[in-house]
Amino acid sequence: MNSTLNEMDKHPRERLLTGENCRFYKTREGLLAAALSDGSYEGRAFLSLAFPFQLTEEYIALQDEDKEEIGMIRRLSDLAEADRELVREELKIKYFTPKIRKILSLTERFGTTRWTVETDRGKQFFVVKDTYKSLIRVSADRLFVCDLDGCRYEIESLKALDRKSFSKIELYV
Amino acid sequence: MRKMPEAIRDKFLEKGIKIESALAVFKTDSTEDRVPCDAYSVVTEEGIATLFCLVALEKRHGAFFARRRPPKRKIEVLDFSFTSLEKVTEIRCEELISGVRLVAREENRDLPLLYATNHCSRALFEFCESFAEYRKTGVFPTPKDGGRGKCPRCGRPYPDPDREVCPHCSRNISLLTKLLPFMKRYRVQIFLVMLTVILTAGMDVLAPYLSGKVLYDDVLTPGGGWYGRILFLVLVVAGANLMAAFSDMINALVVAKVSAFVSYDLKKTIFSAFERLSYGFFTSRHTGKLLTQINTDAETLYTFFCDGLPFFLTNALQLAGVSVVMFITQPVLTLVVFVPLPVVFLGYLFAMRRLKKLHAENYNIHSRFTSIVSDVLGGMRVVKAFSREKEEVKRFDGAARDMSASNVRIANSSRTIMPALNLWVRLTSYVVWGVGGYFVIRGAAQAGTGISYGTLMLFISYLSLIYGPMNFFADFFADLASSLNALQRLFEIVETEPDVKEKENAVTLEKVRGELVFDHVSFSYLPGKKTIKDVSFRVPAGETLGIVGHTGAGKSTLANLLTRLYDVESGSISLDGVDLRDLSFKTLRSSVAIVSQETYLFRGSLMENIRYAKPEATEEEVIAASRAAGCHDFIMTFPDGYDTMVGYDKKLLSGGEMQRISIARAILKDPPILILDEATSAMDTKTERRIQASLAAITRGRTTISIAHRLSTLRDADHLLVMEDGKVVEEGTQEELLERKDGVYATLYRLQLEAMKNIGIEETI
Repeated sequence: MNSTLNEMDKHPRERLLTGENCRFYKTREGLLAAALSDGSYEGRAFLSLAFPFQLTEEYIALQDEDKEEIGMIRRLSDLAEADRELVREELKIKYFTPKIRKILSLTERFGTTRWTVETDRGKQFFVVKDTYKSLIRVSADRLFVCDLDGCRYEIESLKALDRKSFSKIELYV
Repeated sequence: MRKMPEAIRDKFLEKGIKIESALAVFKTDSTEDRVPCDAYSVVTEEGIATLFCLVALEKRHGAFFARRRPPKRKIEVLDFSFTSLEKVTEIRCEELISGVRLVAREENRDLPLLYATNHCSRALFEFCESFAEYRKTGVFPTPKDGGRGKCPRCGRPYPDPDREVCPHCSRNISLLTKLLPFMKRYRVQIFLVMLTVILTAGMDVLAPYLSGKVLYDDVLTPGGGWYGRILFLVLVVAGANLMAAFSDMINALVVAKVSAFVSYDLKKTIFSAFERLSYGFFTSRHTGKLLTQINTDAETLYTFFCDGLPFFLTNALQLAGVSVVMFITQPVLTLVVFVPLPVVFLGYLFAMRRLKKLHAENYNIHSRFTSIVSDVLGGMRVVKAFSREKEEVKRFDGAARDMSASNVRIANSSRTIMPALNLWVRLTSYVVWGVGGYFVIRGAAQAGTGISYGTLMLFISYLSLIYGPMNFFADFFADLASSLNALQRLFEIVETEPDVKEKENAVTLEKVRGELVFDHVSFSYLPGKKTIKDVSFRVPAGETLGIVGHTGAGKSTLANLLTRLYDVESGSISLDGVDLRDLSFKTLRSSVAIVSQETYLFRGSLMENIRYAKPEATEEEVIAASRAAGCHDFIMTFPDGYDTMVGYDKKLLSGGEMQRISIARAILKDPPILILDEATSAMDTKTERRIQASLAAITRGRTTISIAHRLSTLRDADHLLVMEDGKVVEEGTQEELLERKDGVYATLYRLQLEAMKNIGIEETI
């Protein structure tokens, strides 16, 4: 009810989370949860990376289920050793992206491109619209493809693709 | 929802799931390890059962007829899970980067149900909503079926929810037949085109026959049927050539005229379709892209029908005619001519592909280059402010280098591949000369078996008719594909049904009093995310309602619903007791004026812009409205006064000045209902204060909805509504709201008062 109020009073103060003031654990149902030592929060842990493409073990925000930030983990190594693996595991689930190993076919029809690819999770098919805009170039060699439902696929290294696959996306990169 | 295969059904029955009493059935697409699979879930009153399996269609071996048999499915069950829903209060969809996690919530614990990719997220969000409704009312609403349209012919969902195009069923032929109505009006001209095409092709085949075979064999050879009648032959050949040129000319003239008119027709149809379509269509697409669509697509079609198609028809006919004549005269030599043809054709095809690729690459690099330039020029203030000139020059340098490298690649390819192919064509003709010459010599030695000199000359002149258009043929199919694509896009726009439609026998009100009632209105732009949640209020005719709330609370959406840019999802909005959906567009649009936070000035003079809503307004009325809106004074400081041209250079007017122009526009329209959607947000508080007085005069006796986040804007409102997160959280008069010391409004009031004190304005709001 009073979120307007709260937002205005609260200043964006950063709260750093370390092994001292924050513990992670798994609920009996297998979901990640966190507890702050001062008792200000205990419950499910939702994680968000500030720089998901480059820094996957740094600047990790801990949020509650309304995406309100509880605190930030500056470096994963700041956490207690047992907790690190738990956080890593949850990040893997949230940021899961199939990795494209091979492009089996790529055809353009009516302004959309239709991809059949071999990923680390098996063969997949998807449709991309506005192909140029749907490729997120992270570096000269690494990119993400966004299909029209918002699913992402990663090409870890363009150079590592075989020649046939590369010649299919050459036009778009 | 989707039907499930018989075999899967049996598997559920085996597990004791009462599938016939299922509340919902849905299909998702991944296992817990995020491996693609087919996961079927059945929701019953007891719980939610999910069967994870791999469904493989058995390979059908070759046989064409086997297609008619339904394919056999091989099902491999990976996993089965069952979660009791007895204590579950809520089912939630938690967003992940590429998918969602479905979680059931009990009083103090969360149970993960399944993972799915974003392909299913729409349907899952809808399921969560339905489940919430089920918990509230005890009735499970019938699913809306995913929101994604399905192809009516094959039942497959469209790959792109925004475009109703089924790639399986869109046949190129059906596209062309759709074009027929556009062509129908030009029946006569098209008939003329066909006639001239045939005539041109015929003459082009005949002329070499006369000047080659007939000249050498019949006219110049003693004993030939036409021996010595050279003048006659010259006249006939010249006549044939003249006729070919003449019919070609007529063809070009007619085609140019018809295609220009057809392309004009297309453009007009598209543009009027744009006007007809609802606002939602435009927000889901890029406006710039729409403009390119009108122009480029119509242009592509124009060139295709004007240049490509007639040229193709003429050449194809010619090729056919030439082949027939050649085959009748000398079958063996014909083979010699035709054997290298596929190689040449494929060679051109390869060359075209390669060049197209290079040109596409060049196009990309070029657009990156221009975007860097316009980026830097547009953001020059920022570049200078952070003294980043050097880095920008470096960025520019990199792009420029890439471009020149790409230009070099294009030049290299076209300078090597094309000459090589031309050489190959020439070599082919040498072979024909050689073989043909040999036949001629042998014919001279032993009469009867060889060929005549005239036949050889005929073949040589036909060579250029056959090999000449090959590079065009190779390119033609690519052109055809892009033209069909353009055509597809055009019809898509023409055929889109507007979401917001006028009812057939819509009510037209003679006089609008302006009483507005919102009755339990809900609305969402995206499924699963309600922007307006169950909002009800009433504005008596002539009163002013103020709506307060911070960004994203749904204030502007209320204005969009009121003007029927979108239709409500549930509940109703009525004007003078008539549901907006029953009201004619004319009544609605003429009784509501909106001044919004984003003002748009069309290209033209200020006068024309202010008069936009009422073109017949006199100069006097325009000046009076401008005075009321507080824009008269600054307009008069411009050298050209009301004739000042705007729209070309936005820097001429500040944001606040543009807002005042659009207020003047609304005042001039003089509607019974006025919506001020952050109409004064871009002005400083002092200017706002000045305009407020004139606004007060306008809103008196007129139903006004004033939307603002700054409370000072709303000080004259009769009634206030405080919105938060799509809901009305407080309402009442200003006094009533201020009395609630901890209320949202009272708190906002205090905060804004303090802020005003800080900038030196000490008054009550």
